[in-house]
Amino acid sequence: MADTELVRSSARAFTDAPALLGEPLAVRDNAGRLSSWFVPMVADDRLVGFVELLPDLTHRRTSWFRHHPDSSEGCPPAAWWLDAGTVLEHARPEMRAGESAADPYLSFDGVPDRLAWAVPVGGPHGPRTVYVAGDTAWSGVATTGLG
Amino acid sequence: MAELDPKEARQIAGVELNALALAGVLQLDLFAGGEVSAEATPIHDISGEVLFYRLAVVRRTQQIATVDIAAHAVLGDPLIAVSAGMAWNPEALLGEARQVAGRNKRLKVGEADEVRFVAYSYPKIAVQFLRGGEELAMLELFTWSVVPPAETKDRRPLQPESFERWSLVTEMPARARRTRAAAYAERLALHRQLNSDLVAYRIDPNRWADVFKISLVDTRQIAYSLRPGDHTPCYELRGQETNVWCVGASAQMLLDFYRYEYTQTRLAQELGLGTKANPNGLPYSQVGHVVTALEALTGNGLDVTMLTNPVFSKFRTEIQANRPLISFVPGHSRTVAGYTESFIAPIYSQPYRGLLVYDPWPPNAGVITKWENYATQTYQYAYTALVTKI
Repeated sequence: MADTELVRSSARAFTDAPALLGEPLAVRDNAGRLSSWFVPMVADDRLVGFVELLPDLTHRRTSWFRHHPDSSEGCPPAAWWLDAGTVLEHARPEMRAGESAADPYLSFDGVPDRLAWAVPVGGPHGPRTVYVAGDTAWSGVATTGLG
Repeated sequence: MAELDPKEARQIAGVELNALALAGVLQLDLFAGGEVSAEATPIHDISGEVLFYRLAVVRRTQQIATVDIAAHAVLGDPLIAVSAGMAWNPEALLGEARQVAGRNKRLKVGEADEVRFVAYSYPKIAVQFLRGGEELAMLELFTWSVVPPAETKDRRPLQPESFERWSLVTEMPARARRTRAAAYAERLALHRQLNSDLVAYRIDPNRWADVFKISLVDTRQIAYSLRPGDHTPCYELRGQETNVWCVGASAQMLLDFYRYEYTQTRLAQELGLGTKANPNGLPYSQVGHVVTALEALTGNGLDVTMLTNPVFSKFRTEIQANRPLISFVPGHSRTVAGYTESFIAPIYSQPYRGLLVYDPWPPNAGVITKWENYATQTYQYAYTALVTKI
C-alpha cells in the first residue's frame, strides 16, 4: 500500500491549490479493502474540496465543496469529514438504546461515489452500520437502485 | 498475442510522457530528467493474453512514476495511465505475494511453476500462481485477499460486482471492441511513423518541442447562453436532501437551469422516490421514467432523451450546445456541466478527457468535481434535455 506522503505528493498534480492538501485518508469498502485515497483540501477549518486517487494512485476526481473559487461559504466544517470524534457525534442520533459504536472509518454507502463514514455499531439488535456524510446520518440498506 | 513487445512499450511510454509534459498535462518539473525503465512488466487479462505493460519511471535512483502501455487493442489506446509518485517494484510484490500465500497451506503456491500479474477486474491487479497452466491461487495486489473463482452469473457484460474476476477481453461488446481496435491501431501507427532521432525513453520535453504540435486545451462549461460574451459559468449545485435522492437532486439542477423551480419533495413525488420521511432510490427498472417525469414537469417544454452508455463526444456535443446533462453511474446520479480535452499532434488522438460534474452527494451539500477522469468512470445512462421551440 502506498504511504500517505506518496499519496499526498501524487495528489498535488491534480489540484490548483496544492498548499491546501491535508493528510490522506484511506477509503475502505465494507470488507476493509482499500477502495481509494481521499486527500482533503482545507482552508480556514473548512473542507473546501478533495482529491480522490485510486489505490494505484490514478486520479479519480478532484471535487470542490465551494461553489465559487474564492469563497468558502457553504463548505462543511473540516471536522465533519476528518475528525472521527465528530463523526461519532453525528452518528449518535441514529443509534438505538443499548448500542455501542466501534471506530468509524471512511468508506462509502453501496457505491464509491457515495462517500461516507461507516460507524460499526453493535448491541441488542445485532451488528449494523451507521453511515455519516457531513451532518447527515442514516442506517440500513440505502437503496436498491440509484440514490 | 501482444500487439507490441516490451522494447516498443518503453519507446512509446517515453514519447507519451515527453508529449504530455510538454503540453502541460503532466507537471513538467515532476518528470523532467526522468527515464523510463527498460523492465516492462506484462499484466495479463483473465483470458491469459497480455493486456498491458507497466513500466517504472526513474530519476537517478528514485522512482517517480509508473506508466501503463496497452499491449492489447481492446484497451483502445496505447497509453492507459500515468501515475505520478507511484512506485512499481514487481519483484518485491511477487515476493510479498509468495510470502502471504505461503502462510495459507491450502493454496499450495509452493508447487507453482509460473507466477504472473493479472488484471482480474481491470484496472484492479492480482498475482496469479499457476502450475502447468492451471491456477493454484490468485491474490489481489496490496490487500492480498484471495480472489474468488469465476462464477456463472446472470449479469450484463462489464457490470461486475466489486470483488469478482472477469475478462476485459472477452466481455467487451463486439461493437466497442471494433471501435477500440481501430483507435488503438491508428495511434500505434502514428507512433510507428514518428520520425525522430531523440532517445524516447529519456524525459526531456523541451527537446521535443519541434516534434509535437500542441493545440490548445478544448474546454467549456455551461454558461448563460451560447453567445461568447455571455460565457460566465451559469449552473448551480444542489445537494440531495435525503441519502437516496440523487436522482431528484440531479433533476432539480437540470430544471433550475431552465428556470423550472421545483422542490426535491415535489420531484420525488413525480419520480416515485417516496417522501422526505420515508425516501427511496430510483430502481434500475425505472430509469426510463426520468424522461416522462421531466417532460411532464415542463409541460413538454423540454424534449428529454435517455442515452445508454454515453460516450465522451455526446457529453461534449451537449455542453457545446449549452445543455447540461443528467449522468447515471453505477448506483448514483449526477449532472454534467462542462468538459475538458487536450490534443497533441502527431501522436495523440485521445489524451486527457475530463468532465465537470455537479454531484449532489454528500447529502445537503454536494460537490463540484473538476475534473472527473473520463477514463476511470463507468457511464451507464445520460439524459439530454432540449428546449422545444415553436
